[in-house]
Order: sequence, then structure tokens, then C-alpha cells
Amino acid sequence: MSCSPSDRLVQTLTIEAPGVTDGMLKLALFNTMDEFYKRTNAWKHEQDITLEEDTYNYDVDIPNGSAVVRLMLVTHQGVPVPSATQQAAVTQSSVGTLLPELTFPDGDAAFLPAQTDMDPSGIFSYAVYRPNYISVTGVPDEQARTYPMRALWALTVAKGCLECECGDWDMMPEWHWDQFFQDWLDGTLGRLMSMPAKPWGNKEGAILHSKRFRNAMALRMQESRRGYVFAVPGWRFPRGWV
Amino acid sequence: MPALDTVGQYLEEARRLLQDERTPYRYPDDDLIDALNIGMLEARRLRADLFLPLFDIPWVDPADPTAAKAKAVTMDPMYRQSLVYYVVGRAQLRDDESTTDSRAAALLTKFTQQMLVIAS
Repeated sequence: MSCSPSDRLVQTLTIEAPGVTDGMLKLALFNTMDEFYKRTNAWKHEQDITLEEDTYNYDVDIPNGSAVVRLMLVTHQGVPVPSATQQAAVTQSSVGTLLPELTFPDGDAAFLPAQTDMDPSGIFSYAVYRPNYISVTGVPDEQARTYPMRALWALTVAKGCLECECGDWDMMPEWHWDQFFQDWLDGTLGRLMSMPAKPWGNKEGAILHSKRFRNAMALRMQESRRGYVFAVPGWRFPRGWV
Repeated sequence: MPALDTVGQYLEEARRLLQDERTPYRYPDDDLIDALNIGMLEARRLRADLFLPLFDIPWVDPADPTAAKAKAVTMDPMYRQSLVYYVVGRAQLRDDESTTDSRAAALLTKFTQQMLVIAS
């Protein structure tokens, strides 16, 4: 008998949802993981992109069996690169924004376009219009092209793994199975138990597990931002408040 | 106890419950194969998840029972016995001196119950 990182979860689900078929269990688990990753950004992947002259679009390179949720961050030489929608004090091309406070009432520019056209790295800004390539605006200069641009993607599971019978569920890092075990268990049980006219249907169980899953996703979303470190809130009320 | 992998094994188990194991049979093979086909339609109506991922409903040609008996039946092992109950119940719906309506109804109800609830 072969061992798989998903064994513990599948075994627990099979016991807690009696009568559930393998196909149904797999589908509910997949949907749970998809929702979990899309909400929490818990699966991150770094990609180094080598900049090239006169090239503005770069393909996304992510692991097999994964799909892009969103682009979290782009850095170049260790410095965050602003996205097209974050750019301030600049007049933008078709991918950018023009803020009202940057113009005089008569429409004249209240900034110096020549100084705002490029940042020191030579990269103007970036944008993602479709989740399979990243666009940069401006022409990266020769010095900028000597360093790779680093993109941090949030990923989810790709539906291709359900459609083919590959049987592989090892596309995400293996530690996710242990770290998110209870969360995926609750999410899958919540989905299964809320189904009408099924032997494993259980209204009270569905409410309980769905609530636990939502709470777990809120926690994981915080962890995704701050790391797995105890007591590092990003913000709190000042002492004596309230 | 057969593993209920093939049409032939379904028929064998159904005949055991029908007490119809000696030829000439009271219930011909093609009648029981028809019942199995209709049972699949019922299962698809009640439990689409049994037919994941493509939701294709298997169908066996009753015109050639010998070839049909060797054909595999794709069904989750937990629900194979329910399908036997359906075949037997449907066969006994026939107006026959050896059967009773209540037994047929009980078997068909058992099929539905096993598909839908855990305590059945």
C-alpha cells in the first residue's frame, strides 16, 4: 500500500461522512481547497523573470497542477515595484491611472511628466490583465535588465487535476496537508453535509463545520500576510482605547 | 457472495433472492438485464455523484445475454447491493403467483432508502 500526504485527510473524511463515494469526496475536497487558496493566499510561489529589451509581456511560470489567483508583489533588486494602479504622481499610459489631485482644474498637469515616467530601476510599473502573463510598462534599461524581476504569485489548485485521472494531488507543498488539515477537513465536511438527499447529509454538522471553516480561513489569511509567528498583529487599538 | 463486478454476478445474486436458480428460469435473463438498466437510471436520478466524473449512465444490451453477462458494471461497492434489491424488486412487480406486492414494494423502497439515508 502506497502512502500519500492526503491519506490522513481522506481517511478522516471517509469515516466522518459515511457512505460518501470516492469521486464525491475528491470533488468536495478539491472545491474546498480551491476556495481556501483563493481566499487566503496561503499558497505562494516566487518567479524570477529575466527582463529583455523591447519585451513588455512575460509568461507566468508556475508549478504543474496550479493556477494563478492573483499577483501579490513584484520586486526588482529587492525593491517593491508599484503596480499600474498604485502609481501616484505620474501621468499614466493606458495601463495606469490619472489621479484628480494631480491635475489643475483646467486639466493641465500638476506634475512633471519627464520625472515621473520611469522609476530608478528602469521599470515603470506592471499589470496583470490575464492570469497567464505579466505586463511591464516602460522600457527596462540595460542596467535594469541585468537583474531579474521577482514576482510573488498566490496560487490555487488547477481543475485539470479533476478532469484527468492522473491521481496526483502533490502539486502544492507537502506541508500544506498537515498545516491546513483541520481547515480542509471542516470545509469538506461542511460541503458534504449540506448536500440534499445524501446519506452523509447532516444539517447541524454542516452549520458547525462551515462556520469553523470560515473562521479558519480568516486566521489563515492573517497568517499568509504575517507569517507563522505568534502574536505579531499588524495593527491594534492603542492602550486605553475603548 | 459474488463481488458484483459484472452483469452476470448481479443476475446470479438476484436469482438467489428470487429463488430462480434452475432452468428454465421464471425470470428470463433479458428481463433482469432490463431491470438492471432501469436501476441505473434510478440511481442516476437519486445519486448523480455515483456517476462522477462524466455522469454517463451505463447501459447493457439485453438482446445478447451471454455477452452482457461478461460486461462490467461500474458502481461504487457500497451501493452494489442496493442495485440487486432494485433488480429483484422490479422483477417481483410482475403479476406472478410466486410473488407478493408487499415484498416488491419493500425491496424497491429499500433501494431508495439505501441510496439516500445511512440508516436503512
